[in-house]
Amino acid sequence: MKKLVLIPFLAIFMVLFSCQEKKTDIAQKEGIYEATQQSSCVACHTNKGLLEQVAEPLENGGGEAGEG
Amino acid sequence: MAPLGPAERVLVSENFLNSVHGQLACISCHGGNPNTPLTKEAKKDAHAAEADFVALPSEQFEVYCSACHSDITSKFKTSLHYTQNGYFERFKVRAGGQELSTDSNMKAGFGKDCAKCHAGCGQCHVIRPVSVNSGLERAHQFYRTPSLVNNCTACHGSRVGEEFRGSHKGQTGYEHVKEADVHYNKGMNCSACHAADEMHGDGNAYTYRLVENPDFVPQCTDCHADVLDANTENNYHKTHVQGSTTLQCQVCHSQTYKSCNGCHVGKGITGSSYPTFKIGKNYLKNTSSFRTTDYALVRHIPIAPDTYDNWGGSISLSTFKAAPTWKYATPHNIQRWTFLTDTTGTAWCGANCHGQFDEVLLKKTDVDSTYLNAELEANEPVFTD
Repeated sequence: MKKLVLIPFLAIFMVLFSCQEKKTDIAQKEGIYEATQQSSCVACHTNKGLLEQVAEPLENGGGEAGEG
Repeated sequence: MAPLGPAERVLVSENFLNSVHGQLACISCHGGNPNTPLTKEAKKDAHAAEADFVALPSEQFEVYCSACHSDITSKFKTSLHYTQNGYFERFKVRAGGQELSTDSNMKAGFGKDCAKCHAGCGQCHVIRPVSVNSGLERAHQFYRTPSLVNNCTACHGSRVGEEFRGSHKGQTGYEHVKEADVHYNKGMNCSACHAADEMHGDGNAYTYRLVENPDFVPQCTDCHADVLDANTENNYHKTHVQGSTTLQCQVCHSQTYKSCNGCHVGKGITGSSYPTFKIGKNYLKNTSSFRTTDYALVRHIPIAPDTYDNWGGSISLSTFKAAPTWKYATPHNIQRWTFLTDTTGTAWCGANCHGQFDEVLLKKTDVDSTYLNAELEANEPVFTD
C-alpha cells in the first residue's frame, strides 16, 4: 500500500528532474550560465539565411600563407 | 583551402550549443549586446566596442580560458606560437643585438606585416587562423586536434603544407617529386609528430626552436628506432648514420622542396620561391644533443640586408652575416625511395650523390648575386666547397 502511495510522488519528482535545465560543471563553477541563450546572438548566428543577408564579404578570400 | 563564405564564417551550430562551451552564454566570452533587433542596422550595436564586444576571446586566454585550462594556459604564455620570440631573437642576432621592439617604426612594421603569424588558443581549436581571414572552422565547435589543412597548414602552408601534400608534383623544377609525404599518404595528421606539448610549450621561454629542447623537435628515430637493426644490409645507413660522415635522415629521404628569397615585407632579394635540394654542412653541429650530423639539408630563407628598409626604422641588420641564409630544412615530403636512394639504372646508391646529382651540394656559386658578399659571408659555415 505504501508503495502505491509513493508512485505518484516519484513520477512528479522524475518529471521535474528531467525538465530541469542542464548545467555543466564549468557553468556552475563560474556562475555565468544564467544569461539566457535565447539572445539575439544565438537567434542571429544560428540562422544561416539571416546571416547571408547581414554578413559582409571580406576583401581577401583567404588561402594559405605563412612562414613554414 | 577553400575560403569560408561570409555567413559560414560566423554560423553557429546546434551541436556547439549542446557542447560544454556552448553551455556558456555568448556574452560570457564575447561581451557585446545580446538584446538587439535582428537587423543589419543593429549589427553594429551588437558588436560595438562600447558594448565590450570581444571577437577573439582566446587572445586573452588568461581571462577566458584559464579558469578551466590553467594547466595549458600557464605554459602557453611563453610558447613560441604565442610570443613569436623565435622571430625576435633571430632578428636580434642579425641586428647587432638590438631589440626590434625598441624602435617604434620597426614595431609598427612588424605589427603590420608579421604579427598575424601569432596564434592564440582559438586559432587552432575554434577558428581558422586570422592570417587567412579566419572564420569558425566547425560552426563554433571546439576541437582538440587542429585541422591539418584549415589550421596547421593555413599558416605553415607555403612550404610545409605544399610539400606534405605533394602539391609540387608535376611542376617545373620539381621533377624529382614523385609522391606526397609518406606520412601524409598514410593519413597522419601534423599532431602525430608535433605533439601538444610542443605546440603549447612547457613554461620555459625559448628563443630558438631548432636547438633548445629535444622534446620539441620530432626525431625520425622516435618511431623508426630500429632503422639500423632492421636493415643490416643497407651499407648507406651504416655509413651515414654511424660512420665517419653522418647525415640527417631527410638528406636521402626528401624530395625537391621550396626555397624563398623575396619576403612579404617587400624588400630584399627578388623572386618569390624556387625549387631546391641542397645539402650543406651542419652549422648547428653539436650545439645540442640532437644536432650531431655532419651534413644537413638547407633551404634559403627570405631575408636580405635590406629586408626591413620599407619599415623606415633606425635598426639595420648590421650583423647580417651572423646567421646563415641557407637554413636548416626539414622538408615534409619524405619517401623511402627518392631520386637519391633509388638505384634503378645506377650501380650503387652513392653514385647518385657523388656522381650524377652532385649539384645537390650547396656551393658558393649557388648564392644570389644581388647580395653576393653578404650571402658568401653569412653562409660560410654551410658551404660544402
